[in-house]
Amino acid sequence: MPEVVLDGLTRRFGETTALAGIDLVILDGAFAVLLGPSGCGKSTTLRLIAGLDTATSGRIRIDGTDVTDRPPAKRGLSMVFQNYALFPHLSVAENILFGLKVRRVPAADRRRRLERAADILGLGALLGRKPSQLSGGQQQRVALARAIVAESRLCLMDEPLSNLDAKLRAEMRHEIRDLQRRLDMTMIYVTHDQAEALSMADQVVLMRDGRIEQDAAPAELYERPATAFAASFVGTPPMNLLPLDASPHGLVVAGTSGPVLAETPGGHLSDLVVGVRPEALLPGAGPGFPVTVTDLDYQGADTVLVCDLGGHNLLARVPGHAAAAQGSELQLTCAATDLAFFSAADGRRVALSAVDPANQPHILGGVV
Amino acid sequence: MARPVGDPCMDRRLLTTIYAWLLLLPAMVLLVAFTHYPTVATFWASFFSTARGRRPASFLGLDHYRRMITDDPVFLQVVWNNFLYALVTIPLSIGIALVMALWVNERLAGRGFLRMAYFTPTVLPMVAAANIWLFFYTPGFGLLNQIIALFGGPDVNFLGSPETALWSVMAVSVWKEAGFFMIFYLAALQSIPPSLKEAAKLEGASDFHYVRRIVLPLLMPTTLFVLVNAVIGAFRVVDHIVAMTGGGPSNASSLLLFYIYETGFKFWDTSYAAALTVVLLAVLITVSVLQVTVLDKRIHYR
Ligand SMILES: Nc1ncnc2c1ncn2[C@@H]1O[C@H](COP(=O)(O)OP(=O)(O)OP(=O)(O)O)[C@@H](O)[C@H]1O
Ligand SMILES: [Mg+2]
Repeated sequence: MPEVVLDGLTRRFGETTALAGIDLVILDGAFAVLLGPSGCGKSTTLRLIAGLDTATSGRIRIDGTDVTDRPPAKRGLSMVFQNYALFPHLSVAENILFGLKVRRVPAADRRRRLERAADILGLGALLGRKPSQLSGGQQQRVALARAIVAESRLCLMDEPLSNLDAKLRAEMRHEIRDLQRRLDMTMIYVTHDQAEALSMADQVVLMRDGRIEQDAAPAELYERPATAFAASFVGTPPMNLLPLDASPHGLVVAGTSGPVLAETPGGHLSDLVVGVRPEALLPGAGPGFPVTVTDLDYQGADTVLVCDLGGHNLLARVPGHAAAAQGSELQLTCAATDLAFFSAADGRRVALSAVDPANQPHILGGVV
Repeated sequence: MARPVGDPCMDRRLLTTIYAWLLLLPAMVLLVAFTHYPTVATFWASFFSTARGRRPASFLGLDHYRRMITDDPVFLQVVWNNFLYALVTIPLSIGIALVMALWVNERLAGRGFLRMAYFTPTVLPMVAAANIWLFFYTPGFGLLNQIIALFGGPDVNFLGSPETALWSVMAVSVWKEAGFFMIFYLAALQSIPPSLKEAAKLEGASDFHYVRRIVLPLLMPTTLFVLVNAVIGAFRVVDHIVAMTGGGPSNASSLLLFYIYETGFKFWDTSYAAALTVVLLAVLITVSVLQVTVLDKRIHYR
């Protein structure tokens, strides 16, 4: 079973450390997505797994066997390159069959596999064409076909959809996901697009500066980001992160006098950050964050309100064409469970007992 | 007398046409004066005898061409020499260029130095290169003879004996051309995305298989270009013949263009030289047309 295990994987290029000792387990049959900003080491990780690059230290195991020192062809995997890497002088059929010919697979077997791959990907009518006579999406499909005729159970993809337009990308996302399930492959897929990662993955590996920031299922990554970075990388728009200050009744957003979001923790009360998703914020009649709407960003199904809260930007995503006008003041509210707290120093999540912004007992009992 | 009122649209088109011709004029003048007119004049002159003293040129028809085939052993030898020269130097220099390019395209220590070293002969003027090789070939104390002597071999007069003269000249030409062609191959190699090699490697292809099945086909357009240049070059060389052997001994190393030069400017038989030039032109045109029509179709995959 092609389970992939990375053990302290490190890659340095002279002074720069592209990968700083990564430990990762990708389960058999999983669709794992390596996600992260540009330069975080996603491609490096993928190339090390493929054997196209050599690790400075650390081990790679595929299917229980240590493959760290094996050449790429002996690792039992296939790969789809970002630029597809199709051979421009060969026809689609020859491109797909290149590897099988190299491996001296018998002709009858080759024909059967070609037919199957062409069938799965709808390439039947294009087999005689040269890559330059194909559209981007078709080239992408040829690259996929070349990866699946190998019938290896582990497939690597490096940003395969980045050259396609939005509509085709959505289509191909679905197709790739479907293909992976149908052929029961283990997939390691690189992207810097968090929406793509959330929609496709069983397991999202969020990377930053050559380290793994969080390794979790998409829902968990979205709902329980382990760090401020994870919170700010995932979601459209990403989570609001606001610095906190102590007030007599508890922690409030710096520069405001309320609402209180958490009880002041004993000991380290300095440098905390609160996170709240834009879609968790609702314009309510009752008490909440008192904000001024500074801008509106209409997106069709919903509208992003750009608000000002004590000098900080706060984004709220509300359904439909929002009623709020620019410059208007309103109260945004959310549940206590929508609040996440992070240490400003290292970005780690901090467990605090949150207070519901709409339900402020101390205020009700006291000042008002 | 009313002037007919011109259609403004027509006027404009006329003006555009005049502009176009004016813009083409400088290049046209140069081409006509130095390429087209001489070509036609040469062709025309080849049907006449050379005017000498009081005797004016007289029309001879195809006599010059008949003379080449039936009555000019030197011409036949020179054509054979040139044919041999092309047949040996072209594949050899292209082959060496390709191997050198593949070699210096690899990531290896000192590859910048290697590239420069291979390219140096190209930068030298042919006459300078010829002089360097003149020293290598010198009987007695030349570099090659010193090496041969080291192994106890006999002294060889490379440029002075009919058996070795042409081969020695060929060696210089290969040495000089290979570096030049290498640059074209190198440029083409660098335009092949590295991911093709990685894809081939992933599929289990060996380096040899990759070069044979992927690199060589992708280099074909470059090869065609280099080939056209090499063929034209092989029929156009005189510099090192002049500098090294003067076509000798007894025409053993003479080539077509050198023979034309001798006929025209040493023996002053200019109209026979014109006929020889027409033959040279015919060869070059045939070769280029063949290469561009027949080979091109089988090479361009885009
Ligand atoms: N061959 C190399 N030589 C030197 N540094 C390199 C090399 N390849 C990658 N790096 C460095 O390693 C780091 C990680 O690169 P990598 O290509 O893995 O990023 P990535 O996450 O794939 O980014 P992107 O999303 O832009 O493709 C970068 O800082 C990069 O500059
Ligand atoms: Mg990358």
